[in-house]
Amino acid sequence: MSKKRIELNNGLLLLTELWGGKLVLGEIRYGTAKKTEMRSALIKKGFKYGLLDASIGLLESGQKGQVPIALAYLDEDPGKPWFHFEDALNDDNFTTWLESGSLDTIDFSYPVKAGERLLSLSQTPFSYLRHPNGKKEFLEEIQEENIALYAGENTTLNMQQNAIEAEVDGYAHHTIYGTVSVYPLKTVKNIGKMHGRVEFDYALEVEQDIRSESSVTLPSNLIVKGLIRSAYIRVGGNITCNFGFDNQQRLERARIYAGQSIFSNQILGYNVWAGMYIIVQQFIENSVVQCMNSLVAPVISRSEIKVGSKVFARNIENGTQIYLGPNYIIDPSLKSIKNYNRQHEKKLFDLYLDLEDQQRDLEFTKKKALGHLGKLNKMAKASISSDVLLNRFYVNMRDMLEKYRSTLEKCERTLSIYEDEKKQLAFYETHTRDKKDPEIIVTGKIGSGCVIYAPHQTLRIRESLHHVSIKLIAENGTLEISDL
Amino acid sequence: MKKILIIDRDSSSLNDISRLVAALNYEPVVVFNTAAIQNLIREEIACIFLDVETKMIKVDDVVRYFNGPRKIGPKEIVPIYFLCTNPDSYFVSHAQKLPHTALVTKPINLEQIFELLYESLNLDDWNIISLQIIISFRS
Repeated sequence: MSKKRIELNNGLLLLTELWGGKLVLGEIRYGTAKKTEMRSALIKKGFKYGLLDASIGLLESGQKGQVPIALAYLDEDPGKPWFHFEDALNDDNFTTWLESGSLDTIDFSYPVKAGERLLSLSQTPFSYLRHPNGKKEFLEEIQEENIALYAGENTTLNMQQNAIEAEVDGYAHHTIYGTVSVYPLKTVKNIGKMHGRVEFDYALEVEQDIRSESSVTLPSNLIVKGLIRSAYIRVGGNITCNFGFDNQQRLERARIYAGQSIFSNQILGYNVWAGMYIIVQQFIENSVVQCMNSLVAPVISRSEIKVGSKVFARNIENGTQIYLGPNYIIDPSLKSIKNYNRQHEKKLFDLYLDLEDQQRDLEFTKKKALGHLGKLNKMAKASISSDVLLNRFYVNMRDMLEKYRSTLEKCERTLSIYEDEKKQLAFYETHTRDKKDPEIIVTGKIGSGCVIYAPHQTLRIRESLHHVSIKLIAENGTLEISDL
Repeated sequence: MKKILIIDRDSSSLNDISRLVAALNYEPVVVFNTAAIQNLIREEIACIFLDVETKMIKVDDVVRYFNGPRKIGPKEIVPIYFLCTNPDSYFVSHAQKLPHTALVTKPINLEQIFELLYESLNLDDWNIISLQIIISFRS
């Protein structure tokens, strides 16, 4: 048993850890505190998980004495998917690759052949007990985990049910929620405004340019040999563009959204969002760039950058603003997935209630029928009316049971969808938040006038800094500058 | 879900114990008269907190219903914790003659109650059991 004191603005919160840290009791020793204040103080002290909101509410309303404030809960780790087709560049080898590799070797198009293995689990899923202080207590491995939920278009689960394979020749990509898909390639010469809205179910290769005011929406990868000029591009996979993005016309509608990574020569005046990496060979200028993972660009100037993990740059200059950390990046499709998940949770709850009601009705009818049978036992002989009555009871119960079974089936279906969504969200969380250590690495100089925003600190560069690394300290949301 | 029976008129200790029990994933059951005890299934009750100074229920009846001589085996005994305000009162000295696990003096301390529950409920084992149930449900 250990005790911790948390000083609040107007009081003292005393925490007692019991059961090896699985249960935390809280007590306001003196003074008062708001729910939000207590919550943030607990999180700051390291108690992030399993907080019991109702108990914190009780303490806010002036409850004297101890109340259980946080409790360990059972959770599952979905395992670590390994995307075979992206072996060349992934999260684990990104930094070493950057030190020794070359930008010329990057290929985000990922061509695959039919039957090629795309995904398997490199770490078996396991269940664990999550303590309020974040500690994971391993319980056991889950062997019968189904990875079919990661299979997207034109992919299939293999015979051994341990990997996902491509069904057709084409180009592969995975989404930020873990789903892997393959689409065949379609090649066009160029795309312009006259083509209207281009919406293909293919991976697309454009031999020349995508011209201004065109609109391209694809579920897969986009490969452009020329330039993308002031066009609206929305792509589920990766974008590889040899000449770069150029929004010279300053069109508001010109935006680029890539579900995964972007490789480009330059980004000029564009609004860009990427779910994974952005790698630029020359410069980013006058642009608004959001990147959930890491960004590599030799020169960044007059731009607004929001990055979840790391920025690698030679020069950052001309009043560039950088928002560092995963909290600043908003995934446009996350809200809808969370909403679906919430709707399914609600539906599941309603179905449970419905099942309970039906079960109660069934039990009630059964009791009535049994009561009637008991009465019959005492009678000398059965009457016709009792025969009709019992028959009606039987028919009623049969119909009810049928209805109950169909509701149960619906419930099982919703539960499996709900669990799949939860796994996808867990994948998203681990891939966007875990082990990211946000950092800006500047090998040249970061010029005066640049601003770096962190959750609890804004760093305005007054004098140019050379050869520096600016790290985000996750615990208190501040920045730390050190020499490279 | 296993239940924990609480028989007490003092709302503050009743609420405190209920909250702790609910946090440990047990269901608190509160009873205010002897007749209501007859509706409980003995096997569902994991342990009992009983205020011996309350006059709304006879302590003998509760002990006889759950741990009477006819109930089987020493392992089947339901742990009964007596609660009291004044340990020198007549009610307490009378109750202490009956079989019980421990006597707790009010005002109660949740840490102390947790220690008692930890011993009698074997909480670590319970977690593994709940996990097994979840896994079997999934398969």
